[in-house]
Amino acid sequence: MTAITFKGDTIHTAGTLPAVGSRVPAFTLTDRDLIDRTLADFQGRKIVMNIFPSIDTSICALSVRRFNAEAAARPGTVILCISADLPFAASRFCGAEGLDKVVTLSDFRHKEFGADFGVRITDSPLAGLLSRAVLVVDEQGQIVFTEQVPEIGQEPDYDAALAAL
Amino acid sequence: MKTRSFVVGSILFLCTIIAGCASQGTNAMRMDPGSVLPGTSVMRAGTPLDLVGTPIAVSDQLPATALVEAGTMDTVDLSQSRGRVLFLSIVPSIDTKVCEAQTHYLGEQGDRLPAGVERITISRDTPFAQSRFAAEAKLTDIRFLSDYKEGAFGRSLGLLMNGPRLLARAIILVDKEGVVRYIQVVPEITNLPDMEKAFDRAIELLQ
Repeated sequence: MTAITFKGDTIHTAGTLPAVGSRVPAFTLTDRDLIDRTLADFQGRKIVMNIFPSIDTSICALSVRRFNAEAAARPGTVILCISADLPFAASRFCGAEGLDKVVTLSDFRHKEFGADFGVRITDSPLAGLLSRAVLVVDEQGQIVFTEQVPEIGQEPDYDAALAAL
Repeated sequence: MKTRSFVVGSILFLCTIIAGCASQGTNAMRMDPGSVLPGTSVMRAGTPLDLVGTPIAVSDQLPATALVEAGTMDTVDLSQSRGRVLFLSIVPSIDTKVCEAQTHYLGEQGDRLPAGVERITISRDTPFAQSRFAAEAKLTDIRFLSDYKEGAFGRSLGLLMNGPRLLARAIILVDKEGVVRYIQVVPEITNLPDMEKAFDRAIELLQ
């Protein structure tokens, strides 16, 4: 369990992020075309996992825009934007904004993701959504950077994550 | 019937303009008078999808389950509601065209319903997505409730589609005592439910 804050109030996640130096846990999530994707689909490249509560909130939207721009400059890196949003919401948002460099993935069918990565929020009105976190994984599947953003309403440290690539 | 088709056509046309989705022909959507039973299966563009969970039937009490209210993020248990007729418009996702049309129909044509009928849209969209949709569509007379967590509401009715893990398209009417009085589960989920028939039944239930 990790304590973070939501608008200043203390809330909790189901666990802790996987440690730097460990192998990234396997996962299955659903993409924009409603197709289930697994870690194996992305392995062999550098992976940024941008995890957040919902693309329909302003900070999450900012993070997707920023990472989309960064992805365009890094062809060897895949950027996964992961939330509980249905694939239709991700399509609508990314389609409307022309964000075609990131891969959006939803945990709506595969709720074990939140537990396996320690990012499922367990209390407060946000219970069941994913906390805001960033992981960077190298080509060998080793985690080289993590950030559990301490306050839900705060943006991740983009520069620190990108420096780990 | 002719008038109704015209109204539906007009609404769908408007939705198309608003959403900017010119690729979808409006005549592709139609109101389906048929229904299948909860807990059986529906079709999506010809492919069968099983409905999982405990099937609800007419004259059952609505089971207790937690939904999340868009806007406030409050937990809501509809089985506790008394004194109003609940018009539950259940959709796979408000960010798809048929669901959008169904929700506009509920919000706009549904204005003919008396105040004693509470109009509620339920989906597995996040509460944030529902709030955004409601604001953009200017649908202020509908409550939006989210089953995003585990689809527990869908399971409690036998309306969670196995595979997609979305709610099947359905209309459920609950009377003032919390008893289910009308169920339509649309057999082919790309069709609209028979909204006018459900409106008529809701008005009857109020009397």
